[in-house]
Amino acid sequence: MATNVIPDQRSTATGSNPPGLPDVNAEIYPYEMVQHWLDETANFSMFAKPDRAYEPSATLTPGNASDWFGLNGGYGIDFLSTLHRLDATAELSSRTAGVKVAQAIGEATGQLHCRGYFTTSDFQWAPDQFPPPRIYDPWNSEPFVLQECEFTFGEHDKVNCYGLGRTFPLSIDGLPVLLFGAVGNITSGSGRLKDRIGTFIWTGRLTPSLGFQGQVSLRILDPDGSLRTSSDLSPITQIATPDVDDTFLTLRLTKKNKNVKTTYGPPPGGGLVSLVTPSDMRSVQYQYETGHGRGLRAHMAVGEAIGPMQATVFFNLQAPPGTPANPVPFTTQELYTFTDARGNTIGTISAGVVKGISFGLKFPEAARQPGVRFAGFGPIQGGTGVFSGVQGMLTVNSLIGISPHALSLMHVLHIVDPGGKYRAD
Amino acid sequence: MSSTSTVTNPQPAAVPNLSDAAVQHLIDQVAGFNLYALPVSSQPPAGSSGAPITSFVLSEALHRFDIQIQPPTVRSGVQAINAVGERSGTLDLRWPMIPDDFSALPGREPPVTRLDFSRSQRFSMQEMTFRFGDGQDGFRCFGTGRTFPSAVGQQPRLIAAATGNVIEGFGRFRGHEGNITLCGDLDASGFRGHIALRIVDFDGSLRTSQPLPPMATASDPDPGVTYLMWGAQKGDGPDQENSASFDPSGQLRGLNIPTELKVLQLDFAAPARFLGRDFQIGEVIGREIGFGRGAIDTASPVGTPLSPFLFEGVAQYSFFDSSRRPIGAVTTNVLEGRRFDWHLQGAPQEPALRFGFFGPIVLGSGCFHGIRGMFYGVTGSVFYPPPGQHVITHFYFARVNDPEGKFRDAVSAGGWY
Repeated sequence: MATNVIPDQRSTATGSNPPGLPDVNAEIYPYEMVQHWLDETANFSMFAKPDRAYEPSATLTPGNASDWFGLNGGYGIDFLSTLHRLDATAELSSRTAGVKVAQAIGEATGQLHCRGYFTTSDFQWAPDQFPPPRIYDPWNSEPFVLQECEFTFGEHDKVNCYGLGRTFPLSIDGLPVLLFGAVGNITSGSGRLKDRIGTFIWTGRLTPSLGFQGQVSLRILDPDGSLRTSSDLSPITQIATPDVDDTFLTLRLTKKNKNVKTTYGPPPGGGLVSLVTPSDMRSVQYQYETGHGRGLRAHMAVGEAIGPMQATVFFNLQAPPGTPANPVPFTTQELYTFTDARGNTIGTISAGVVKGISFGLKFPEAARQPGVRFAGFGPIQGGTGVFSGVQGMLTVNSLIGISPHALSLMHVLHIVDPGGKYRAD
Repeated sequence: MSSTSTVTNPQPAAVPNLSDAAVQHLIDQVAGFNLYALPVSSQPPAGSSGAPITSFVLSEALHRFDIQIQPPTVRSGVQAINAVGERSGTLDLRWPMIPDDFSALPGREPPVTRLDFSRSQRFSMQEMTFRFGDGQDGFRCFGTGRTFPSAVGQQPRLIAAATGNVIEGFGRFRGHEGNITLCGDLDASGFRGHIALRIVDFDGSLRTSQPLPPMATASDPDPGVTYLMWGAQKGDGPDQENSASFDPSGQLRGLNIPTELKVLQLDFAAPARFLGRDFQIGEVIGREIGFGRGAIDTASPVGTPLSPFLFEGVAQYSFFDSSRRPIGAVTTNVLEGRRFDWHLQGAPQEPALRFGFFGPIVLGSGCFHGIRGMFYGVTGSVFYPPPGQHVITHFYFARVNDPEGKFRDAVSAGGWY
């Protein structure tokens, strides 16, 4: 993440800063105030369902139908998915001493259209550059570039994005499964989404018809509150569930309070530093709706505490703040510990972001306050207890302050769950 | 498969020395035939000692194998008869697993590499000795392939696909060059599946004009899988012209190549000596549109037995009925294509190519909606960069997961019809 904006205050807040490294816990502005600003976002947690009617027209060369480089599924994927409301609320089950997700897919609210091109592993974020081609190989983890990516809500509200992604082949009970993660940045918009800043992340599957089915988190800065409502939204109208073999454990993470400090971990090498960041996990509903004549609006309903999470973030402290043209990469290693009401550990999940992008974050109310907007994805590496043997993907879509190091983290643990073991239904 | 030459820069089209028909006749002087390989049950399976599997050293039975695609119809879709016939030879093989970055060569032993059923891995066909009939006729070949974790229904399978090149023939195969592509299942007992062969036969010593003995059909070794086979050649008219593909910056990225899809028949028998036949290529049943390119930008364009040219590409095969009504289409990705330069007898100046290739079926529509399987083939061609001469005959195959027999013609599916 871009943190050359970190004040070199050598704060005594922890007394543990390595020589030459700034104190990220110092408070340029009060912690509570920064936390408030970080939470001024409209958060959309959505379920993407492939639009079968689009398949025949899918192409990678829309301007040249006789160039068969454009055959869908060869050197890229062109897909259209409908976006549905999604509730995926984590619940601690006292009966089974486990974690269940009450997962409901609601009415369609928009569309996601993407044209992505597979590319070489060394290709970096470059919105103005067509990526070098690579053939789609379902058995290899392959990077891809979202050269075109458009979210549409209603008739007028749209954002266009650029992003990067990767496929992840898994073996689940001996059967092949291909997961599909992506992260991107808003580049333009229209309607109520004109001139917005925001980040999206998704995790899901490529279907046999080369559609995308999965969970999408779109997080848009909303300092004026025009995309948010403080009241609950209309209940989801649950649709007939498509073949969903995935559970999306959706989380909100913050620090417990201002006294929880971020520390430096062992430097990982390569000029990077590591920041060890403890936080608390809570169940959450990232609700939104588009109808009822009031347009697109979102509401966050935070639920029960379900355990601690510790993240170690690896990044270049010396890099300038990330920009839409040149975001700063990062990776993470995370441990999610789920506890029961008495604080006993019932299971853990370890995961890490392998593709992360970050952008400098500014606050209209506080020009001196640095922050970072960042998102990324990576595979679940393992689990213990009730999560023993889990496989899947982690996505993060987050904002943090720097000095103080307040957090507003939107995480999704995508668990491949063909038997519905982790679903409350 | 469209990547027959995958030029890196289009050259001015050379003037061909021979007519298309004359070139077509020359490149089609081959013995093309299908084999079905089955493990010999008497041998211990790999890994039976409890040690990890790092290599397959097996003797397999080779059977005559008949794949007859039926003219597509709206009612039946695209179907084929599959019939495994009498045992017609043996295959002694040694396939060590190899690291992803291993440069395989005949005689070059790879580092010990453990087979992992959960991921795709490479293997080399370090030894492949085919013996037909009474064993007088056969050949050795070398090649490489990949494993592909897959499933038929809910049954996990490990597919193996590979391309190989004949390095030495004996008996009637002495002095013949050619190539093979195989696709089937790999488990501890060995390889079970199809081997497609295209052996150059300018002197006709591998082929007979006499009728072959009728096939003695054996029981179906794998009812959950259907093999489809069709041919492809260039047709006439602007619809069949090749063209270059350029990226948005104007850089050449590959070639667009269409062909006509046709009914194809291959056969052989080996009651004692090997007896091949001229392949039969018939009515047009569809159209191919494809894009191909060299897989390694910096590679030499020359393809040799020790260093074949590696290519890749995407193609769509659309099938239609006799009234040209669309029946179904598959999109396939060639992940590994290996091309060898060769010389036509009597026309050594022609840029002749022979190649093998394989990769997944990534998409299906119409009768192929939801299809899962592999695509592969063996081919011979003469190629000049567009708009130059291009003459080609593909033998194309698809191994389709088909637990419900949707792609099996009733004759081979059995039952009441």
